[in-house]
Amino acid sequence: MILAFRVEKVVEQRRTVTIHVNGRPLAAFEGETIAAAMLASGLRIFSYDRDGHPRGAFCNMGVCYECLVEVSGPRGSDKRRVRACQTQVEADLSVRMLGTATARP
Amino acid sequence: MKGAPAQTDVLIIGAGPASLAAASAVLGHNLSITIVDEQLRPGGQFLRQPPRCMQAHNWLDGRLYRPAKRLLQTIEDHPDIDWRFGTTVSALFPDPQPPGIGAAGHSVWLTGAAGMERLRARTVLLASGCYERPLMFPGWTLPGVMGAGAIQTLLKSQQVVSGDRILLVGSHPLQLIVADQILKAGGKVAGVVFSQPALAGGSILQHPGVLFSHFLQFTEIARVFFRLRRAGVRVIFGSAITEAKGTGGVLAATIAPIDSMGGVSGTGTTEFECDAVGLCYGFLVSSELARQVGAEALWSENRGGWLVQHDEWMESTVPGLFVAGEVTGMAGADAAIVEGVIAGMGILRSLGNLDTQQAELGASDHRRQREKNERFARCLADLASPPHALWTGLMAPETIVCRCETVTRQELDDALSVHTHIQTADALKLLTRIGMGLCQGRLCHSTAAQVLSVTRKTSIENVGSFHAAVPARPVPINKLTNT
Ligand code: FES
Repeated sequence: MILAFRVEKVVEQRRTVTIHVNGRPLAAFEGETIAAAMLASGLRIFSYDRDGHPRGAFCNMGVCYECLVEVSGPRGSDKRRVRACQTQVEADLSVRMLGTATARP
Repeated sequence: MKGAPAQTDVLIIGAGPASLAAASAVLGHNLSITIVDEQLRPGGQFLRQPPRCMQAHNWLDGRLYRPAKRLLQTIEDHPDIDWRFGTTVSALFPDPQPPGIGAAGHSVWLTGAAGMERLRARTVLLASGCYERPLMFPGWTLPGVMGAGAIQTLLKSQQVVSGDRILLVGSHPLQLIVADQILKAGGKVAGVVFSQPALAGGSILQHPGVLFSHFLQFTEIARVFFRLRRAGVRVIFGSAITEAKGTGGVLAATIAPIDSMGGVSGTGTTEFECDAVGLCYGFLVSSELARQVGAEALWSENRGGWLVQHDEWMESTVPGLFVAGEVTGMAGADAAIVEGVIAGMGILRSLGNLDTQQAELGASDHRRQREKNERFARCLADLASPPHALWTGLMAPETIVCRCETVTRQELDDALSVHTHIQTADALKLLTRIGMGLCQGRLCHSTAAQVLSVTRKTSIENVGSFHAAVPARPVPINKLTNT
């Protein structure tokens, strides 16, 4: 199964941007949101809840906060939590998923 | 924050069709206009635009988008408007000493990339739109289960198809449009499932006036319907989603027949393989800011929840606070444009730029159109809503109701059976933490109220809403501290 994908044929030539998600490089395009770039690369899980269950983007409009991730710039600078669906990718942006796949005690 | 706060004559919250129409109505009267929106470009969710570096040549080429697109083209980048994109209104409150004369005045806290800022406004138009009303069932929190609107905006503004095989489930005809857009983008639609029986659509024939005044909408939906059928998409009626399954994300969904009361029959279920599910059971309006300042809002089950009440100039019960678009009751983009113009006239009148007679003249055609739109919207709302019992009837004990705080249905039921004095949504919130998370109850408030009203056998009005608190959206601590 290929999951989400980009509709390439209708979009003008775009510049690529590399971001890092949980330490792994991920190719994205300029103008994409972090959420769109993650989804288009097959990453549906954006966080784990307190019971260790996966969560993903739900509204794509900034309402639900289910896409909340921690981002930082080069060498961990400017660490902050943002909604992945409301934040555009930038070169050298690092994204870290919140929570873990094991339940909190 | 340093220096005196900035001022504006007209502050417009939201940049969707209602806002753009209101802005064009007040332009040319020598008033300062500020438009605030969380997105980076105007258009709202209906005309959600891709970023400039991602222009797609087929962007929203359907007929239904034409009037709103024309409006957007005339006003986007207008130099006489102070556009504030990527900006959230964190709080709205009355300004005891409003700038200028002849106005009631409000102050707002804006949160943007540069931090927080206070802005004083002589008049405010709240046109903050709506969002998907989630139906809760086992597995609805699995990644891949989304609002149908999310699937649609990922396409509109990002050119991303949300899955390999997408299942749409709901009660609103919008899901047909979304299915059509997915197919056009080269995606696959596993099926479109309606909760209504097939003949429900036919009952529109009992309202010939509505059919006539909104002919384009009906023919467009009918065309899409037949296009989907031709493409071999299964369209199923009288059924609802009862479970989403998968680990790490949805991989399949179960559909079961329902009766007209929303009861699920255990037999005749169908399993769909799908890696994305779009929920399209209707919408909730974003009336929090209006409720925060005490504007009267009344509950409407089928028109979007707590709707802001207003007079014939679209002014709410809080003087100086105008409303337009979905916050007054779900009615769609064309209706939002009409209300935006009326609100614009109301604003010009309240600021003394037009006398009542002039404003009446500018509003009268739109008022007539608004009545037609209202008839259509009422009719559609009843047709496009699932049976009430469905909202609370599909959850299992472990189904999460509040995603942010991970509060389950079981926890709500336990709290309600132990604490028999709990009668209001706010009391339930204090006890269980439901609605206390980052989305501030936007996703769960209606379901929580419905669970409470069903359990206590009382009305939603008696249960009330979660208190609309300040800030209206979470503000990062570092931004609070540099103000
Ligand atoms: S997906 Fe809902 S806020 Fe991002």
